[in-house]
Amino acid sequence: MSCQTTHERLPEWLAGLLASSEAAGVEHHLEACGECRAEAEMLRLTRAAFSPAALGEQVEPNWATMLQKVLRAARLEQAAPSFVDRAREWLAEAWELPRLKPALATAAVVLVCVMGFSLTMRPYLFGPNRASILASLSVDELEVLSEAMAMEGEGGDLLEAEPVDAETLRALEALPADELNRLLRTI
Amino acid sequence: MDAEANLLGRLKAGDEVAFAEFVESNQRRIYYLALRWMRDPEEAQDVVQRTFLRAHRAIGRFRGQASLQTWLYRIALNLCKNAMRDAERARRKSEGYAEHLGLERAEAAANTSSEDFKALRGVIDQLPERQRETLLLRVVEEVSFKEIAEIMRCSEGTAKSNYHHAVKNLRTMVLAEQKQDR
Repeated sequence: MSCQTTHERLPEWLAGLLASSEAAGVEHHLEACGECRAEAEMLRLTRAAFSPAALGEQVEPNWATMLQKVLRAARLEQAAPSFVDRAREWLAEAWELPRLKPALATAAVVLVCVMGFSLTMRPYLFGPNRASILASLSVDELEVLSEAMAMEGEGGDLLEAEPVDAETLRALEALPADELNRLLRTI
Repeated sequence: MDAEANLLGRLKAGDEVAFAEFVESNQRRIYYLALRWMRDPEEAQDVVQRTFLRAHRAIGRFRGQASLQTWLYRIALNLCKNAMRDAERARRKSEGYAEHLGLERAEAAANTSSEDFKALRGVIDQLPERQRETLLLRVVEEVSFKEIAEIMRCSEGTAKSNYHHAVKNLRTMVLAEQKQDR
């Protein structure tokens, strides 16, 4: 067995996860190679240095209590709908009220006009602040940006893309400038 | 259908029993992963809770391209890194304040680890972040290069290269420390 192969297999060998023939190969190499032996010893110490006992963890946590805490928190979170869900529900209910229908339709038209006006006039009205940077991005770019932000905490590239909602936009606006610049480079 | 696909299907359907099984079978691993990074049992427990909550929130969108465990590892690792960045900022702040008052930072009273292990952890902490993460995932968590690549969003070749450099740098640093001690 070469030094390279031994080097790559040492972690499994130390954990006792290798098949006996492979383990014998590693051991045979270690007997003959001082460099790899020193590496094996250093990695053995590394494993030991990060063992729960070495980290000062004498008593294991109460797994049942930990499980209950997670389940309770998940239930609570599920019971509390997000801002977007609440807004959607409120609009759906409001739309059912006959008197509110014309008011909501007018509000929607006004909103579209204001948005159109501000998009056209944006370069003249606003300076280069965070909100205007975000407003200048296309929907696709915003999705890439929010996906990049989600990746930081949720393994975003393993998830389906989610439409950008108001909460994400607020979170993006609240990011420190250097963090936002870093994310913008991902577009 | 294999067990993981079955579990994933139940999780996506919002099955509470499946979620409890998922937490129960993974909480120990995630806790020790977090403990190795945070070095504080309370903070590690907090990471466990937040990891599973995030997974719970996003499970509907999980594509199943990696294993559930790999995905959990990535969430936990990101939470640890963020928490450590926050802790580092807070530490700098408090250290600056302590210095201002002429106080020395007290060592954690609960730290019962041997001095050698502590010194080795100190040396490992000095490795570049990607190398340190790869080394700990590979040697302590016993994660394969393929999974490390998925967790750290890099190629398997890069994971191997990071590991190789981590081991090489660690040996150099340990030898330098030993020379200094003599």
